[in-house]
Formats: sequence, C-alpha cells, structure tokens
Amino acid sequence: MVADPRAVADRHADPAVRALAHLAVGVTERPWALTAADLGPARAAGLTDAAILHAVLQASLFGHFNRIADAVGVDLDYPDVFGAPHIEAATPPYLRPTSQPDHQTPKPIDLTSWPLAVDLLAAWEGYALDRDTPLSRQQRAVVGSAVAACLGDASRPVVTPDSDLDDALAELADLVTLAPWRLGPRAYARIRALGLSTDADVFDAVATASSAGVASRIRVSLAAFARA
Amino acid sequence: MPHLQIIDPVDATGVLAEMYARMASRPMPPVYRPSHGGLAGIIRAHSLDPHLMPKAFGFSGGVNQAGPLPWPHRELVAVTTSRLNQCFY
Repeated sequence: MVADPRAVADRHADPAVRALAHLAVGVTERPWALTAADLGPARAAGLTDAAILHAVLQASLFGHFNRIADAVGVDLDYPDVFGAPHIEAATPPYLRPTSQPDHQTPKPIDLTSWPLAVDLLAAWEGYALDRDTPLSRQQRAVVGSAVAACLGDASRPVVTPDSDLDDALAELADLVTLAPWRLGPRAYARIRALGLSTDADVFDAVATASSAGVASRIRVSLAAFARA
Repeated sequence: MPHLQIIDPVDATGVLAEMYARMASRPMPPVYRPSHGGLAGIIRAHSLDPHLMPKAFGFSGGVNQAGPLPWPHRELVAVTTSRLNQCFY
C-alpha cells in the first residue's frame, strides 16, 4: 500500500520509481493535462518507451479494476492485518479537462508500437460500446461520450442525452470517471428509478463507463505526451 | 454486503461457470492467490457480465505477459492508481 503516492512521485530515492509514480498520478487524475515534460523524467531515468507505454496501460487497466471493485463493493481477499484505509467520499472529484489533446499530431509513444495491445483494447472497447443489451447501443454511445468529455478524448463521437434516462446515464458515467469512490446505492438510484432497475443493468452502465474510460485514458495520455 | 450482486462460483452456470473455470486455470504467481483459496474478488466482481471478463482480464494478461516493466514497477503503478481511486480492495 502506498499511503501517499505524491510523496513517492516527489521524493523516492530511485528516479525510475519517482517517474513511474508521477506518470501513474497523471494518467489517473488528469490524462488530458500530461505533456512532453511528464515524459522527460521517465526517459531520463532509463525507462524505455515500451516500459512507459506499459505503465500507461497498467494505470489505465487498474483504473477499471478499481472502479469495478468500488462499484460492486467486493470484500478483501486477504486478512486485513495492516488496517486498510476507508473510502473518503468527500474527496473532490478529478478535474474536468480544460483542454483536449490533438489526436492528429504524431505521438512520441504510439499504441501501434504494440499491436497486441491495439487488438486487445479494440476488442474490449468494441464489446463495451457496440452491442444492444442490457443498455441499448444509443445508451452506450451516451455513456461513451460522457466519459470522453471527462477525460478530454476528442476521438469519440459527441452524443447529447435526449431523455431523462440518457441524462442519468451520463451523470453516472461522470461519477464513474471522476469520483469512483462515490459509487454505491445512492449513485445508482436515478437510473434504477428510470428503468435500469436490475443489478445487471446497473453493472452494465458502470462497466460500460469504466471500459470506455480505459480506452479514452490511454488515447488521451499518449496524445498529450506530444504537447510541449 | 456488496452494492451489486456477486454470483459465487458454486452458483454459477452457463457462460459464467465457463469463465470462472478459465480464470481459475490461468497461470498465476502463488503470491497472488487469495488466502481464502477461491477466485479473486475482482474476478467475482465481474460476475454480472461474464462476457466482459475475457476482455478485461485478456487485456491484463496479454499486456502483462508481454510487457517490459518488471514486477515491482507494475505493482508500483497499480498501487499508486488504486490509492488515488480509493480502491482499497
């Protein structure tokens, strides 16, 4: 357990550890605000571009596992001998983007350098956004669009909610993306009341947002590294 | 008490039972095996959508089998991310 990730990012004796913690914080909190300056220390610490890409994918993947674990409320797998911290729901949400990285600019580290990751990510994102049940395809598009807006992903089509349920789904997608520590029964009440009433419906809404977030987070982080 | 249903392996049927069996047979370092002897909670947390399991865990397995980061660095990234997202699972 890392009690204070920023202390590790700022003060750990090993520059590679500092750089990786710094990257994980950036990818997790504000992928849209990353720049080439966030890449420099990692390269200077001897991390290869392939290792940096691996770190971006790992942080994004764990963003999904964290969201699913928090959303479902799963028990610990191990005896809690050290005293696990408790969720602080009052923690402010991650910030919304004030800029969107340009996806057309050549990227210093491109996902295409790792074809297996391209294929696995495409299969995952396709599964999340490209099917009809329990959420409809249109509802998935609303969720995907809300997530993209939260992360600064300009590559996904903008879809405006056009019903109360769409609006509630977009609101839940925002929460999944920006404040996953607040997921729980209260967060699900509105979509349940508007017709997505079963646990499987709610799980699909959360998992669609979380899965879409993995793809957006990776794309945005890699595009953001191109900025001076 | 979880917020959303978790279908236990003993109650799983059909696609979920198949996926649980696939996940249980994945190669895994002993240190990651839960002390309760069953499937990890994060796998069971996906039980309401068994088709999502091979997507998320397939990405995880594919990237982490082939990726160049050594284990301590992967763990550093994973725990940093989890701490920020307040996932204490």
